[in-house]
Parts: sequence; C-alpha cells; structure tokens
Amino acid sequence: MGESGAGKSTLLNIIATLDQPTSGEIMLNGTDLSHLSENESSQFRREHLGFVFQSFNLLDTFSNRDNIYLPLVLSKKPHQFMDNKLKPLSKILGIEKLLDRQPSEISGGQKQRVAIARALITDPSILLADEPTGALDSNNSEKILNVFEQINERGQTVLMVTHSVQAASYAQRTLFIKDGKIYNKLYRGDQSRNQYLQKIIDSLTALENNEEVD
Amino acid sequence: MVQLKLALHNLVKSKNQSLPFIFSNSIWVTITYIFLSMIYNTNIKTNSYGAVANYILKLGLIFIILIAALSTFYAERLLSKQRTQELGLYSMLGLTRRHLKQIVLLENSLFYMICIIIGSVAGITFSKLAFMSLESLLGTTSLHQNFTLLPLIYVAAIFAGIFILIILFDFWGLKRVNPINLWAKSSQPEKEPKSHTLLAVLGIIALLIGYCISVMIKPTGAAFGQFIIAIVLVVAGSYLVFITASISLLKILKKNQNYYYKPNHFISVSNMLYRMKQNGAGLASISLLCTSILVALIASVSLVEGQNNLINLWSPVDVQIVSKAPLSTTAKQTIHKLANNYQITMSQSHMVAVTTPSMGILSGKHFKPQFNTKTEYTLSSLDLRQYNHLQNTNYHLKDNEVLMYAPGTNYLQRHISVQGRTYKVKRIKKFNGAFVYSHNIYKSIFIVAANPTIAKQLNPHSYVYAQGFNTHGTKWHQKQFANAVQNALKVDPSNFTSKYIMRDLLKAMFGSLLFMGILISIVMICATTMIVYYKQVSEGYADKHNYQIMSKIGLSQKETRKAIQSQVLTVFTLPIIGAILNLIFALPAIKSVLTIFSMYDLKILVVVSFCTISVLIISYTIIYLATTNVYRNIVSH
Repeated sequence: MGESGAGKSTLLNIIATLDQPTSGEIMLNGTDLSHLSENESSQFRREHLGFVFQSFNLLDTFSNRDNIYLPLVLSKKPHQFMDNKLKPLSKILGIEKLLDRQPSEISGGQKQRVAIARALITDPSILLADEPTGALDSNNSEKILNVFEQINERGQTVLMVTHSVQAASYAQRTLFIKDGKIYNKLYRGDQSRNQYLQKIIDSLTALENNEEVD
Repeated sequence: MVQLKLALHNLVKSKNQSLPFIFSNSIWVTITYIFLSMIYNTNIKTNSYGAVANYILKLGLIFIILIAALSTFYAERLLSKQRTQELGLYSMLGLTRRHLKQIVLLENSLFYMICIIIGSVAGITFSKLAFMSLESLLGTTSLHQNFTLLPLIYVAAIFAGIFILIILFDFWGLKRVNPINLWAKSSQPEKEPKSHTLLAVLGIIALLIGYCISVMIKPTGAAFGQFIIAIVLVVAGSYLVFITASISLLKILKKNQNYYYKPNHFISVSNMLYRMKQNGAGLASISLLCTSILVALIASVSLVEGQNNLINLWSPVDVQIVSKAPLSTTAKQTIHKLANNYQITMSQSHMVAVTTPSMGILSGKHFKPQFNTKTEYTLSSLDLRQYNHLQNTNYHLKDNEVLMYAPGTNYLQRHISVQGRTYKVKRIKKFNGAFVYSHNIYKSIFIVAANPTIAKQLNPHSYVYAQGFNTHGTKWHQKQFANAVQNALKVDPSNFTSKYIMRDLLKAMFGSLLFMGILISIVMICATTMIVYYKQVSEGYADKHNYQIMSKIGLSQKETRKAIQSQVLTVFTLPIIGAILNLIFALPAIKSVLTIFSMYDLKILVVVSFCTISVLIISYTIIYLATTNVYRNIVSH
C-alpha cells in the first residue's frame, strides 16, 4: 500500500520485468530479473508471471475463451492442454457461461474474472495485480477479493498493489511504501479480517502523519 | 453560428480519423480530375485513333468514380461512428435533431470542400508536371493540353453527388436512433462480422456476369453501355466477394483449432476477423486498382512492343520506293551518289512488280473490292517466280493454290475467293517486297500466284514496281538519306517508305496513347501505394493497444514481428490474386483494342502480361514490406 506516486506501481513493473531497476536486484525463484534480455523477459513473463490490471486489458478482438488461452497459445501449448486447464479454473471463477462471448458483452466484474483466469492459466509463480478492484463497485470487488483469497489458500502467491484498505485486509502480509522505500510491514497471522483491517488503517494513518510505527 | 463551430470542433477533435479520410478522398478527387482533364483538356479526341483512346478513358473514368464512391462511403461510415458519440452528447445538452442534421451537413460540406480543393490543386499540378516530364522523355508527341475549367466543374459535381448520398445516409442513421443510443453507440466495439452466404453468392454471380459480358463484347461504339454494365458488375462483385469471402475464409481458419491456436495465426486471424468489414473493402479497392494498373500497363507496353512489329510488317526493308515504272538507271545512280554523301552503305537492291493494290473487305473467305467506310484491306498480287527469287525460297504452286502474306490479320480460312475464283491458301510469314500503298490505313494483303496470268486474274490492275534496299549508317544519316532520296527522285511521299520515316510517323501516332497509358499507370500506382500505406497506418493505430497488452502478458518483439508478418501475408496475396483473375477476363477486351490498331500479337501480349504481372508483384511486395515496417513501428512504440 502507499500513496499515489509512492512507487508501488514502479515496483510492480520492475518485478514484472516491464521496467529496469536503477539499482539493486530482483530475485524470483533464484532468477535475477534485472538482467534479462527482451526475449528472455517476455518468456519469463509468460511462464512465471500472471497479470491482473485495473482496466482489465482484455482484447476486444478475441472471445473470452481466446483471451484466457492467449498466454498458453504464445507458449505453443496444444489445444487439448489448454482446454483441460481452463475447465477447473472457469468453475472456480464462475465464468463457464461467459467463455464464448466477447469481452464487450460482459460487465466489469465479469471481465476482471476472465482476466484473472488468463493470469492463472499458466500456473504462474506469482500473480501480479495492479489495483484490480479500482474500476469495480464494492459488490464485484468483494467477489474478486474472495477469489484471490481462495486461490491464495490453494498456494498461489498474489502480489497486489492497492489503495483500498478493504482490499488490503484480504492479504496475509501488507507492505507500506513511501517515497520509494518500504516504510512498514504487517503480517495478518491469526487475526480476523476486521482486526487486520483496523491495524492497516492505523498503520496508514501513521504513515500519513509521518510517524514511526513499531 | 454554433453548428459550424461544433462541426469544426468535431473535425479537429477526431483528426486521427478525419485526416486520413481527407487524405484518401483527395486522392480520389485527384485521379478523377486527371481522367477528366485528359478527356476534356487535351486534343486526344482529334488525335489519330483518338476516338478509341477517348472511349477507353471514359470507361476508366467510370471505373474510378465507382471505386471512389464505394471507398469514400466506407471510410465515412467509420468516421460517422466516431461522430455519433459527440452528436449524442449535443443532443443531451439540448440540441434538436434539426441542429444535429445541420452539424452533419456542415461537417460533410467541410470535408467536401477541403477534399475538392486539395484534390484539384494536386490534380492540376500533377497533370502539368506529368505532361512536361513525359514530353521531354518521349520527345514531342501530338498530344497537347489546354487548361479549361470544365474538368474541375465535373469533378466538383461528381463528388457533390457522392457526398449528398453520404449525407442522406447519415440523416437516415440519425432518424433511427434516439439520443441515448446515439451516445452509447460508438463506445460499443464492433461485433464480429457474420458470414453472409447470400451476399457472397450475389457477388460471385455479379462477377461472373461481368466477366461474361467483357469477354463477349467487341469494343464498338454501340457496346459502350455494355462495357459500363460489365465494369459496374465487376466492381460491385469484387467488393462483395472480398468482404464476404474474406470473412468466411477467416471463420474457416478460426474453426480449425490446430491452425488457429498457433501464436502467429492466433493473433493475426482474430485481428483481421475483428475488422474485416473495412478490411474487405480496402482489399477490394487495392485489387481493383492493381487490375487497372495491369490493364493500362499491358495495353501501353503492348503498343510499344507492337510498334516495332508493325514497322517490320509494313516496311520489311529500310527503304522502299513504289513507282509506276521500274527505276531508271539515272535514278539508281542518284541514289548511290546520295548514299556516298550521307556515309550510307546500301545492300543489294531488289525489285518486285505487283499489281496495284485494290481496296476492299473480307467477309468469310470472300474478298470484295469496295471503297467506302467499311474498307479494311488492300489486296495485290504477284507471281511465284518473283517471290522465290526475292525470298530465296523454293515454293511450288498449282494453278488453284496461292501464298498469302497478310500481316496483322488473323485470317483463318483455308481458301480465299477473289474475282469469282477460289484458291487454296498457304500463309507465309515473310515478304520483303511488302509496302503500304499510298500510306493508307488499311491492312495490306499480298497474294503470290503460280504465274503472272493468275496474278492478273486475282487483281486485274496494272503493275507497280517496288524497289527496296537496306541501308547501314547512323540513324540520323539514314533518315537524312531517306529524305534526300525522296526529294531527288521526286517520289510522291505516299509511294516512298522508309523505316525511319515510318518510325517517326508511328511514334507520333501512338505516342499519345502510350503517354496516356503511362500517365494512368503512374496515377494508379501512386493511389495504390497511398491506400496500402493508409491501411497499414490506420490498422497500426487500431492494433497498438492490443499489442501493448500482449507484450505485457509476454509477447516478445520477435513474436510480435512474426505475428505481423503472418497477418500481412494472409491479406497480402488476396488482392494480387484478385487482380490477376480480373486481368485474365480483361485480356479479351485488350486484345480487341489492340486488334483495332492491327497490333494484336499473342506472343507479345502473353510476354508483356507475364512481365507486367511480375513487375507488379515485385513492386507490391516492396510497398507492402515498407508499409509493414511503418505498421510495426506504430505498434511497438
């Protein structure tokens, strides 16, 4: 979490190999991400990372099904493989009935679920989400966050950048960034979501008041 | 005037769409102007063979107006989709439908005026420049240009008509939707197009009928209407087939999962399918323009190639003097003296006596002497002994057999019937004594008979003597020498044939036709290049967002390049195939036109067609590769 311009998205972009760090290094599963060539980083993104964007970024030219298949097609996976992958995933996300429609025909919440399916179909090492609920109403946001919580419980790492304390309270661990530096970190542990939410709010207030928190 | 302000605002605000629209439309205005100015601002009508040229130009004009109207219409549909959103907003802010109509009217009028002004200026400049540069390239032709306002008025009227149709269509569109829909309409992305079997079938039928007509009709004045029908059908058919067939093709490709789910095909097929309606129209335009380039180039190159052929047919030797009596010794001495003066070496001269050519017509195997507007041929005869001597051949003929030298005609009969007698015909390819009597415009036929008596029977006229020889020296000297001989011997120009004088004559005659062909080809090549460029640029901007997303997901630069290549290649071949197909059916018409100029030669036509198609494919590839680069740059930055 952090204010606008704190460097959240920059960090996310660097982890996503879309940007280069000015100093330091990014390690993921023992791979140094800061020294990949253009080709290597494309391949790395495709195989190890999943993306969920605030503005969904579905392609209008593809049906929802083809949007989800896209990363697998780029990795040259056979059609049967893709089909097998999609079945359980679409059940979890509740998008079975949307698959053969176009992105333009479905609502924002539905689009985001399709986008999550696209991000997850490659079994990424880490799912990067940049303000995934930013363009959604509270009802749809909750659905999306529940989905994140579910997949997280199944062992999927999710790294989410958000403004919303609500969204942050679903996480197991929260990092606060200020002026490009990690300012504070919280672990949820055994706390309930409400307790954790309160802690985040406190921490955020402290952050805004520029206090040191233990 | 609020409406004008709003119209201007729309135009400026959506400059990404409106600038290419103005650009492509101005090109159409330019091309139409160039055609009109060739018809009305030049002396082409009064030129030799001008009537035919005029006829072809008018057909070309109709072809261009059709393509211009269709592609303008398509481009405007896209533009008006963008505009609908603005209009919806205005309507919510309280403008009535009448106001909206005024805005639509004003906006289209602005477009019209801008395009007419740019197009006319470009057209006038281009045709002036073209005339000047080609004149200096080809030497003086008999074609001249005078500036008059007539073509401008016609251009303005034609495009006014197109724009009035567009405005009416827009009005109709406004009527059908209410403001809320108006507003929502443009934010809706385009739906995947459906395949229209009915339209595809209609398109194919239109094409077939068009082809049939073009193959069957002969280019005479009466067939003008039929030609127009054929052109309309082929143009309409091409658009329908390209739009519907390309959608069906892509759908089939998409259904084939093994093909579709490959990285390159996946992106390119869905990208193309997504906007195939525009794409199909663009491809049809490109295909039709390529066709017109091929037709214009093949016709004009055939003229150039055929010209040498014609010279050799009409004057097989460098100098040929036809006279009522054999040349006198003094005359011969004069010729030798002049040859020395002009540093010319002469070959052994030969002389043949042939009966004075008589004019007439050929109907079936009958030759009927007749001299009126229907006259097509001249016929004269000689005996076999002279022919064998001259050509160094050893033919034998019975009394009822003849040899026939009839260059530039396709006489397929095995017999010929002259003066009530029928003879068995054997065609010969060479006759060095051939000449065009009195430089008439008819095709010469020479008949070699077994003996002088039969020769007389064939053509009962007094003999004329053709004295011929070849000359060697510089071109300039040969021409000077030919002129000097003619003056010294006081031969009537009509009975004196020199290859070099002939060449000048033909050059003047066909120069203007050649000029026209080159001009049209250049214009069409420019237009095609610009349309391909416009297509790539506009698609580049449309696809940019998609490629950015895909790059985030993990599409590398290299894969992007591959996907683009696959996309380009799939559509790249279609217009060329269409153009070649169109050309095959246009060839009979080209053949008829060439036959009018007695220049039809299958070998030349085939070779020229083949070369032209190869050149077009190569240049098309270059254009496409260059513009693909532009596309790639837009997409990946």
